[in-house]
Amino acid sequence: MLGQLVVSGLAAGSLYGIMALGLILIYKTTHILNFGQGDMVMFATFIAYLLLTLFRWPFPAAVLGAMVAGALLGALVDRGVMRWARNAPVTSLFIATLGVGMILQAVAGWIWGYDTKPFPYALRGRPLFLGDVVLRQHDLLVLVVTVLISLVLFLLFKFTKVGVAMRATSQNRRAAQLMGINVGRIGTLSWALGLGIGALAGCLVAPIVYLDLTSMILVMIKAIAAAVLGGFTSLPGAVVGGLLLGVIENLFGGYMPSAIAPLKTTFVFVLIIVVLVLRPHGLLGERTAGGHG
Amino acid sequence: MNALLSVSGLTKRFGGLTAVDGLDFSVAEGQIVGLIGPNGAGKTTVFNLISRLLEPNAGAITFAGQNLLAFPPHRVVTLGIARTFQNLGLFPYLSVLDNLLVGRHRGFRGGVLPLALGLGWGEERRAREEALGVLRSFGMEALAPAPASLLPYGTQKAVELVRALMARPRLLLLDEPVAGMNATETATMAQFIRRIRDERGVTVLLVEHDMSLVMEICDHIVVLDFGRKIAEGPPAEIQRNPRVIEAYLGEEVGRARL
Amino acid sequence: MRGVLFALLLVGLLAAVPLWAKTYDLYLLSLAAANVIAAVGLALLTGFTGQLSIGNAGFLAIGAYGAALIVKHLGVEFWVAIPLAGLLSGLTGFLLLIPALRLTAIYLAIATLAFGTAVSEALPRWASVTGGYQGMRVPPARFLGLNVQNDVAMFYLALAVTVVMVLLARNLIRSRVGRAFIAIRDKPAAAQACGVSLTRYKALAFFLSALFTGIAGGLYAHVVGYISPSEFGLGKSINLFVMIALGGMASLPGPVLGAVFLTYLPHWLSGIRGLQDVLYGAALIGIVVFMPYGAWGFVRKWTAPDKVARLPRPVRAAAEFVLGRTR
Ligand SMILES: Nc1ncnc2c1ncn2[C@@H]1O[C@H](COP(=O)(O)OP(=O)(O)OP(=O)(O)O)[C@@H](O)[C@H]1O
Ligand SMILES: [Mg+2]
Repeated sequence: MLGQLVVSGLAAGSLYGIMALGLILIYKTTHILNFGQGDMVMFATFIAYLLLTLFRWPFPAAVLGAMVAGALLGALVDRGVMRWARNAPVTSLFIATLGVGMILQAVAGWIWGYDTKPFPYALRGRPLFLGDVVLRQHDLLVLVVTVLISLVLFLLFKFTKVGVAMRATSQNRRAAQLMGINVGRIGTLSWALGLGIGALAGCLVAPIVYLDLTSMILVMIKAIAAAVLGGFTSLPGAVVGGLLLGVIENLFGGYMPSAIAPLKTTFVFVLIIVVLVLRPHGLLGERTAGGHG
Repeated sequence: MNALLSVSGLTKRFGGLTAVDGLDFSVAEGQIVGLIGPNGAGKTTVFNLISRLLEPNAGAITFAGQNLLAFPPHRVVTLGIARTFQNLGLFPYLSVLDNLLVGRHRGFRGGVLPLALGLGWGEERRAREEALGVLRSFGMEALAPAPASLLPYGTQKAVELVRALMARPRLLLLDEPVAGMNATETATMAQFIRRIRDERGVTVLLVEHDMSLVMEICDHIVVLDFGRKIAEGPPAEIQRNPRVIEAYLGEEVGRARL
Repeated sequence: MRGVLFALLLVGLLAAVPLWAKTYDLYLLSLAAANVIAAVGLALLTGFTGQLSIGNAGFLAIGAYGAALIVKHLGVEFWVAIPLAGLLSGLTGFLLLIPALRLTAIYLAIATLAFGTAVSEALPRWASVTGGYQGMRVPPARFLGLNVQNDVAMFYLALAVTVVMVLLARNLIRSRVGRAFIAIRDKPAAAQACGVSLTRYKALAFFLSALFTGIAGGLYAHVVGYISPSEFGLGKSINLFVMIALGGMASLPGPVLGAVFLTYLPHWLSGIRGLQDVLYGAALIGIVVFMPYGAWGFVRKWTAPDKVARLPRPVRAAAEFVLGRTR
């Protein structure tokens, strides 16, 4: 029982983690909390749905297509909307992202309708048995993808010029600008990357929650929670936060009496408050210098 | 001479860095005392410890016979210690007058409920009169309605000092009051600090890099380097002290100024 | 002084609305009134004190259910039930003080989100009291021994409550309390050095915000007559945040404008079938782009003395009279 709950918790948690990665990539360089991420990811996932059903693309190709579409969408949101709103305080900027989200919802509604669509699993073969723990192939795939994405991002930030420029921009925007980094382009890139990864997460979540206009929203709230738990500026923190969130949620749902078990989201959130009160910058977050100079 | 403020064995560590290291000194009532040292010596940290914004790792701070460490930060000003900040502590979106009124926050007595019901304006009006009076006595009454952030930097520093006076402190902590000012402004500020001491009997603890100012107005100087006290005495002695010169020589800016 | 004059004029005009308005208009205005109080409550916390909250719908729910249950079980008058509901909500506001003393910015926002989620998840599961997912009917308000069942009477009650609440907020904002809030928001260390207790004033900000929002909830419950948990979820919290951001959150006219605008926007757009969400979204984006500091910030910018001075003479004279700046 315990092993099973932990393993499926890890699988669900990696999905929160990947979702959170997309959010944080955008937040780190632009300081915008993208409240429209859920809607944007939903839209990109519908693109995958379109490619799968209408054009009968194979699953990996459709996912890749959705990632490209997500990246384009991200770049478009940055260039077409956020760029124009840069005079607004950050607290208002998230309202612009919300506005984009509403528009995308409406457009998706016109194109794909309002009913819930089934979305295929990437792998639907026989589940694996590890002792008495059952692991669906899809869950295994999700875990592998999480590891891969983390690795790719790690390499990107550590070794490529773009990655280093992104890190510099997130640490000190002005200094980065003075060093000749085009922070505008870095911002666009972050939006593209954030939504590209978001689209991937969307395609992996969709088989579980099904696909409709609002199915990504709860996942996105959990992803935000995971990101905050991990420290909000830390990419490894997002993954760790996601995994923890998934496991804790599952354990609570599994062990609590059935009267309380449905309150697992509440429980998770209360737990997050407790963690934050003990560690105000999350588990792996950077402590901002609290000088009083 | 009895000490108004005395600090002993004061230590503050940030992770592995010891910013203030077993510091002892005291400030006699009615004096202007300079606290100097190269960049990063720990001067601002000492101020933050005295204003209780930071918790020391060890040591004691006594003010007017009371153990300062027993008080929370917002009570420090009630005891009689007001301060200014190195990077400006004015509230940018409040007018100069409102900034001054926050400065005498502790003087307000009325409860929240009467305030909400629109009572208690008498107190507010008296506080405004008082603030305007103080501004007038420094020739700044014209500034009263201006948003603080729109004033020139030097003026903001002066306003912040006036705000600190609104609390009627016995001890004033000034963190680099003339940084970024030209010679004329600096001279005016020096006058200003002297007047505060002479006319209001306020004791001053002053952090400043401008050595000519420090040497001119201080009665006593404490020198910090790497969080430790390396010298203490009247200005004339400090100027000749080889350890002080050495500490500053290590730092080009300091050499140029000394 | 001129501000007071204009406010009186506005209230006078609103009081005359029932002379010509249809019941639906009165219903919308009453709804706007409840939103105004909630937005002012959030502005006190987020706009003035700088404590980001995206969980205020939790307080709205507590106020709404509180008022409904109080009236249902105690049968008390409207003017007793509403303050009681507000107080109930206000006291729960202190719950958020524990995280608020340790957290800032996004971290605090998530803590408030957690609170809001907890409330909206707990409500339907406590079905014996709240009526579960279906919600509950709110008994008609009782006022001076009568049941308030027509929209005109409800409108006047809503208007009266709103005027009182806005006045309370105005008095507080102009006092040492408002100054302390802004001081904490902009420079917490300097605020403390001036003698402002962070604990005390953050507690006060959360209490007031919860109190105002709770009263708004109570009023809302009476206006709509039927409440269910789904109205008080994250969407509503964000809706409240959007109100103050669009209006201009560090002012009093800002949240009032924002609340009225956002109450009416869906109504205006509902005529344009199929396009309303797109237009709604576009409106949000447009306002952020063209009025980055909200509608009130926009008004302030374009009525600044230097802007007015550039107007042609007769217009300038009129503008200066209206703005109360004769030089
Ligand atoms: N909140 C903090 N967290 C970590 N380190 C700090 C903090 N505040 C100060 N320090 C470090 O402590 C040391 C002393 O800093 P402090 O600001 O007290 O120096 P200072 O003497 O005021 O210097 P300056 O003349 O440049 O103002 C510095 O090395 C600084 O980096
Ligand atoms: Mg300093």
